[in-house]
Amino acid sequence: MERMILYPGCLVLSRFHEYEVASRQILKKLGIEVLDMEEFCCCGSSLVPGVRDDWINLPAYSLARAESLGVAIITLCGSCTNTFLRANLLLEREPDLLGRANNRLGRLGLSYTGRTTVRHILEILVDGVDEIRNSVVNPLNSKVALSHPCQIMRPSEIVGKRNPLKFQAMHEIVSTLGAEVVDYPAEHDCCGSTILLSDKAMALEVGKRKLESATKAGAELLCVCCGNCLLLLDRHQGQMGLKKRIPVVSLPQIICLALGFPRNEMGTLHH
Amino acid sequence: MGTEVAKECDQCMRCADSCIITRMNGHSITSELNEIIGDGAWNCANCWKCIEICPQGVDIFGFMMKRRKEEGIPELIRKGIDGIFRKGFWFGDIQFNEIREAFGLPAGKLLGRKKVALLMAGEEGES
Repeated sequence: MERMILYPGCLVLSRFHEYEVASRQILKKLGIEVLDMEEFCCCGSSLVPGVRDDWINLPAYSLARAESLGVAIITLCGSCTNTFLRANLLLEREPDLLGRANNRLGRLGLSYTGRTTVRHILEILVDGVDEIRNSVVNPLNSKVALSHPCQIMRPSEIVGKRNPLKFQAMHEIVSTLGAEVVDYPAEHDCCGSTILLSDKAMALEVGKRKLESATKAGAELLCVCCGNCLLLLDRHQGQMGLKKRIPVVSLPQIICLALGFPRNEMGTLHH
Repeated sequence: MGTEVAKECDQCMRCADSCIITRMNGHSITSELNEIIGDGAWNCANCWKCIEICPQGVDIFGFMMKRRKEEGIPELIRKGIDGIFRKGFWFGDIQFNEIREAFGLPAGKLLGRKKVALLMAGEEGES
């Protein structure tokens, strides 16, 4: 059984338990033994864009923890994924930066060479799509719109060959579950969640526009694969003044549903 | 401001066209790139369509980091950063282990103030 460490991120650790529970169930089903962070620390994603130049020590800590166990790190949010990948790239390019990070990590009894593999849950799920397909017992038979975790796809300089601007992975998995994937005009627009703390009104407008677009296209459910998308599109949906609400569910949860997992093993569905 | 961005920018506006915030008449980094003045650096949603689409390879991320420093940190983001330095966790004092237990999830232990301080403190003479 392959072992990997699950990094839930601050949001999922504290708020999106149903997403984490379902992720653990599917990972187990795909033959992955999930290890936990011994001591959790924020990935530093909010410090990256111009807050502090020493942000890199935060992701270096979690990456070093994974490296000490010799395992890959699994992420559930786009922003954590992007931050870890950015950190790895910079630490590889700049030996001085890696040296300074190691000076700090050494105080915690850790060290880092820069080799931890970072995998967002979506990448693992799409790799396991054949096994998922073969395990479907409750085909979904519903119209599902997708909101893609944009920060695992862009920018290509950071995320490598994860197919920037093209988002086939979720489409492939959700089709496999027997659902009809509904295309809608706002599908490839960012959900807006990452500006909730700087301009809440604008974030709600961006989210509302996306949800209305999906509903208008006939979607009965919106499927996401990121804690940030859940935060805005699910938890803040009630503040958007929508005429018609739409359930927002994480990809691991709807996989659990299609695979016939008992409800208590897939996290509580809100809707 | 846009002229500070990069000599390579030829104002083709493709970044603004790709940006959901600018398309909704908000200020974001792409409106600043196109010389529409306003404090918008913190309203970039970090989706990075603009970076992928820019035909000139402008360092939009670098520009955004610079502008965010100039604009200063919004209050709610400052609170999150305080949480990181107090606990290693964005939401500071929010308790979550009771509900994690109810979901059958393992308790989460945070790195905590002392270890975060060790991790973030610079070396003497370090730049």
